[in-house]
Amino acid sequence: MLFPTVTFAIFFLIVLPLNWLTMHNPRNWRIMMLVASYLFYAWWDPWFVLLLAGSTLFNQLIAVRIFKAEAPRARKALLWVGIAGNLAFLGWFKYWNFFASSAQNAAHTLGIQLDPGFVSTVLPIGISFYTFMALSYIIDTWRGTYEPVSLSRFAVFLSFFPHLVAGPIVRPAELIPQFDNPPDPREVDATRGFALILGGLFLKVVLASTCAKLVDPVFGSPKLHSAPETLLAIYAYAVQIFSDFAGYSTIAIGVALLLGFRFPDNFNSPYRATSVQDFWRRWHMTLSRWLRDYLYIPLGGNRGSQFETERNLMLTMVIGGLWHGANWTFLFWGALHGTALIVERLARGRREARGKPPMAKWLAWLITFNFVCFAWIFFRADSFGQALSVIEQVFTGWGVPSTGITLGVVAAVATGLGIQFLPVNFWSDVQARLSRFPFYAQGAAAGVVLMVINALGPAGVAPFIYFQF
Amino acid sequence: MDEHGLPEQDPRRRTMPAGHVLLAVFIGLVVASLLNAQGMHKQALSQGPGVGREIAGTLTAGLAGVSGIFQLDEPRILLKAALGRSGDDKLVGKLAISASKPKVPVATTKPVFSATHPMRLYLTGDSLITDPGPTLLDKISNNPAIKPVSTTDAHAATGLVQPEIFNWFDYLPKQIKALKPDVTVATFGANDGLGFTGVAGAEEFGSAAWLAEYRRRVSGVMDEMTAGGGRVVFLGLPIPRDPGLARRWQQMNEIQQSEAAKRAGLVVWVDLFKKLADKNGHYSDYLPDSSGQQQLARSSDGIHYEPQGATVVADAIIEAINQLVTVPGLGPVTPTPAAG
Repeated sequence: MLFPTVTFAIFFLIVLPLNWLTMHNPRNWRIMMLVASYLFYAWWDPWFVLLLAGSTLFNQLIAVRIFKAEAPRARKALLWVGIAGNLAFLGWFKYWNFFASSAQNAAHTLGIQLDPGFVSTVLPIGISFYTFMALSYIIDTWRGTYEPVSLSRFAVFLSFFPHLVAGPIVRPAELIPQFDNPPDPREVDATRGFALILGGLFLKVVLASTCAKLVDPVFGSPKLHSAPETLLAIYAYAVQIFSDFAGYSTIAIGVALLLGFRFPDNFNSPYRATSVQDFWRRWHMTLSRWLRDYLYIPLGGNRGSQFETERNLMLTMVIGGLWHGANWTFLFWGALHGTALIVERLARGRREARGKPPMAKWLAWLITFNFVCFAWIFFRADSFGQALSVIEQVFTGWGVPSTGITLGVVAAVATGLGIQFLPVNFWSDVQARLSRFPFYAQGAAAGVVLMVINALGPAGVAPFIYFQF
Repeated sequence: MDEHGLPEQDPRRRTMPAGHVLLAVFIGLVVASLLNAQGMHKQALSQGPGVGREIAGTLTAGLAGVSGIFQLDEPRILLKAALGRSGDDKLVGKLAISASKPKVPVATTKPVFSATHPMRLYLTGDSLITDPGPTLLDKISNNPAIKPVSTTDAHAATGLVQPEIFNWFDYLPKQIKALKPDVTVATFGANDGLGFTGVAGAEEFGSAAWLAEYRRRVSGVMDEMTAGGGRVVFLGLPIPRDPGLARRWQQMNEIQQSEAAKRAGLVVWVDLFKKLADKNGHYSDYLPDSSGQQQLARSSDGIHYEPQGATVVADAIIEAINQLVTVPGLGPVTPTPAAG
């Protein structure tokens, strides 16, 4: 079930009152929410629900066993079983074909025949998100920072429909306590919820879909497009991927708010970052946090030698890249960011050692933004060949008519970048003002905005890009 | 931020009771539904077959009626007009196949093109042309004897069964007349595995009446594309992952293939079941490239194409073009090692 659809609107109209009616009885609420979330997920494919339920049972079993085990070795062994189980589950569905084809191709190059076989199955939507959340649960239990909860609580935590298919990646300690301390039904932070849902829809339906109108043909056949079109398509993709993913996250946070639950923020104007490190503190913040706490720090973080720190950074970013998809281009995208983080770290160290002032902010922003956009080329391209064709076209495609540059795409790119530079409190000020209007006025206004968003969006809004991750 | 790093509520923002939240959501959706009724009705009809489509179609038809009576659809109409997209919500209920009497011509000579007299190429159809189109255009981009007359003209979620969603019989003659292609590459059918509704009467997919009507439409669309003397590469439906869908598509492929055969020399039908199957004739996500390396060919839905799949289709199109016309520099394509 996609958020920007009539089906979801009907689903939500049923779940919203049930949520508040059962809230006073946590057990009934959990049953209701579990059924609703599984129904939401089953809308794509009922088979997915079995996988989700299987993952839930496996991780609950591991977490309880870790908690009950007293010997450190047994706890550690169980942790590794849990990690291996989750990675095998993810690997089978998401990475098997990638590794099988890579191995087969490497063998073919060496003149060896290898046939590992391919899996012909649909990638379950959101598998990377809920697998990472499940890993948080068992690792936190092993660390002793979180005690396992009942199966029903964990099942609702993992399947809670607002975050189920594309995050934010929520930690057990952030969400499960909210299940046990139900919000006050007399005080719902609804205006913010409405604003986030409408804002997210605008990002997805209007900005992301409009940018796709240029991005798709340019990346599809780079040689047929001029250099200005290609350049604009690269920037348009930066806006598209932000609008698509931040749009989904924003809707998810808004939907959860209307149900009375708070999620962590996932984006904070990433294109105003003045360094790559700053970018990762603003982009997909819940994934960055996850990678930092469950990968980078356990690898040693920055506690070892300079080489070890750089190795940890690179490994974290490469694995983060691969998390996005089973393709060498994603891995390379991660490596590009890892390299940039290392270079930044070295440059900052040298600058500080020489007592030099930091780089001018505008210059730092310009370099960071263009680096991020450059790296997005590899993220978007289906292959290295396509990425290189796009880059080549920027240098060679001059003097060709630019028929793909439309006012709509230019306006979408300008809007998508412009909103990154709004004052920090702009949206909270707007929401505070809107909250003074009566509920019926807020509802009617939301209806009008929905109409405008729907009318502005091009026909055939594509599914969210991040669903495939 | 609280102790868990979660954003805290801004004290300046007023809250509301859950009952008011529900009412506000309800009011918002009702207002949006009335203002967007036309678009919703069109969207409801573009769904796949089933009870959901029937219910949604009926409900939104009523909604559009109410909206029209009170002129609540005017803001959307005005906004769409201002954006130059007045036709977005248009529902076409009448199917006019102008080439009602198939000419069944047989072309005896192959047109010859050159750099001074380039072949005008037009690529169109549903979403299955979206990926192979640009791949083909990229492959031929350095050939001066071929002149693409537009970028890939794809209309996702359309077909020959639901002209009320997008009427190819209205659209194609205008495009052919305006663009004057020498060769049109077209694909239809991916969204046609459903029953006819509306003017053609309610016919379940696969019935004798359905097959006859579908044949009439395939025949009509082929005639529309060849009406100006151009040739047509008609792409068959590719082998899909879902066996049930495969059975439906095979029925439709048989109709397409036999209609193309009646227009030998003018229309070539491309068998993408065979081209996109693995060495055992089965569906596969992966197919070997020209060097024998396994590459991802099909997208996660088991229908659309990833780059290798698009390459296989583009190569098949080049082969088909070579059967219809003579274009220098458009040489035969090296077959992939294991693909059919």
